[in-house]
Amino acid sequence: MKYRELKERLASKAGIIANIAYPVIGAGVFLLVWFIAAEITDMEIILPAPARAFEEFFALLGTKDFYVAVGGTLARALISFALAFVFAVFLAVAGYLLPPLSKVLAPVVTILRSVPTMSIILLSLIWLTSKESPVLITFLIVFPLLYSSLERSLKNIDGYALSMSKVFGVPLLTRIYRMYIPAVLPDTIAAARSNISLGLKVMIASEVLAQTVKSMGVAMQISRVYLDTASLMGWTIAAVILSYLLEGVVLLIGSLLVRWKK
Amino acid sequence: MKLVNISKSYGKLSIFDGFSVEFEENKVTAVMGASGIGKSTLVNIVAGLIPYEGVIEAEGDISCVFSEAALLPNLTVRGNLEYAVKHKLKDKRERDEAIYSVLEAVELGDRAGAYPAELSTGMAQRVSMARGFLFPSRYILLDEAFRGLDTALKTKLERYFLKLLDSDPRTVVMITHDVNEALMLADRLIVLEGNPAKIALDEKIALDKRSRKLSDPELVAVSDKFMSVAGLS
Repeated sequence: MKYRELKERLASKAGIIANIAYPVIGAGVFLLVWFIAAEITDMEIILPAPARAFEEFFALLGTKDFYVAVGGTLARALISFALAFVFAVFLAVAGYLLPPLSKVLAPVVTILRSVPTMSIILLSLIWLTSKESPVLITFLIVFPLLYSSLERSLKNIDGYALSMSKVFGVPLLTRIYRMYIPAVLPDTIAAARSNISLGLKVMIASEVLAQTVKSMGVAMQISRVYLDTASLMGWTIAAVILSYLLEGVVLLIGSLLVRWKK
Repeated sequence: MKLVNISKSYGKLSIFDGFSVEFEENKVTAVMGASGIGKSTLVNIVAGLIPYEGVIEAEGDISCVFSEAALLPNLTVRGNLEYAVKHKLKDKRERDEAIYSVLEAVELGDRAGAYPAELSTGMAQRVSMARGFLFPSRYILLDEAFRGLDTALKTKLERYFLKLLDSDPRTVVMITHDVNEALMLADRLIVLEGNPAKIALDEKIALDKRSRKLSDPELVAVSDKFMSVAGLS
């Protein structure tokens, strides 16, 4: 085996180890700190040990209510995210084609980004039903972030590539498919990845306040009311896993679509 | 190609005001001048990238080689070439042959499947040059196409340019800051001066481009004239 080949193989093995080992170490440290803190408090009602929380989580997996709540929350989160994504794409593209529109939208987006999440939640609770308001809240939180990211990516498209396409008279559809979409895709995937889990968090928070039936938020709220901290932790573990899964799906879609970024 | 009474302003700054020039068929015209004089504006006008007043008399398509390779990162070398010409060379076999041939000419036949991130700056610029010649145009604009390359890469790219031009002659308008580049590659040197820009020097170079040396008396004479116009002598 040539030296270079050997070096590349070792580097690749080291990369795999680093990608698996470091996150495992990180999770281990987190669980250790949690375990120590639970031992120090020694009160399950304040902070149950990791084993208890996982026990509750696995118990939840065996109940029908768990899947109904997760399904409801997930469906609402995905609807909000999809709406935010579609609006963000539509308005960012419209703003790119019509710069005055982008200027008109700029203060609106800034306001949406700066308004405290709680104000949006409380206002929407006045305006909408308990099922609708979490969808609107999540939409209003996620939309400006996705829009800003898309708008930035569109503005950052290589000017030379744009000029080249124009000079060579490349048809619009080819430009969209081969240049515009691939140019904004990596940043869009990155933004979608971080915002989909943010969306889930906001959704659960809104459900708590809106008292949305058949939701993870309400299930958590019930655990809190009965001071069932272990169950609350179990639901939290479920939310974290769901968030990871959603991010994973976005990453998977990204890796299938963005194959050239080395 | 004839530019007649071209006018272009940016706010109160008039870059061209009734500017006229003719670029001879199948000849290389180098356009030089100080920064901000309007060289790139001239390229953008000829390429149809910016609005202007006046008339451009030209029949046939234009292709361009920029100072940046302008390759799409998501497409391979082959994909990038195809992107620019697919709507012009519709027959797949003909297109494939043309792509293969032009990549061979710039000695990148074995890199057709590589992505731009896997190419060096010099290779990327060769692909850009290949694309300029692959596009079935009558005119080619070189907008500081050799800028930013080290001497060895530049010399290499200049050789590829001459090789491609030899086998597939075009009318070339070459914007450059480098007088030596102009002396080695051009059949005519135009120097722009002032705002609005006027032609301060218009010199023809008759020497065969394939055997030029900067020490050739004709090139030295043109260089001296350039220095004098540029206020460097």
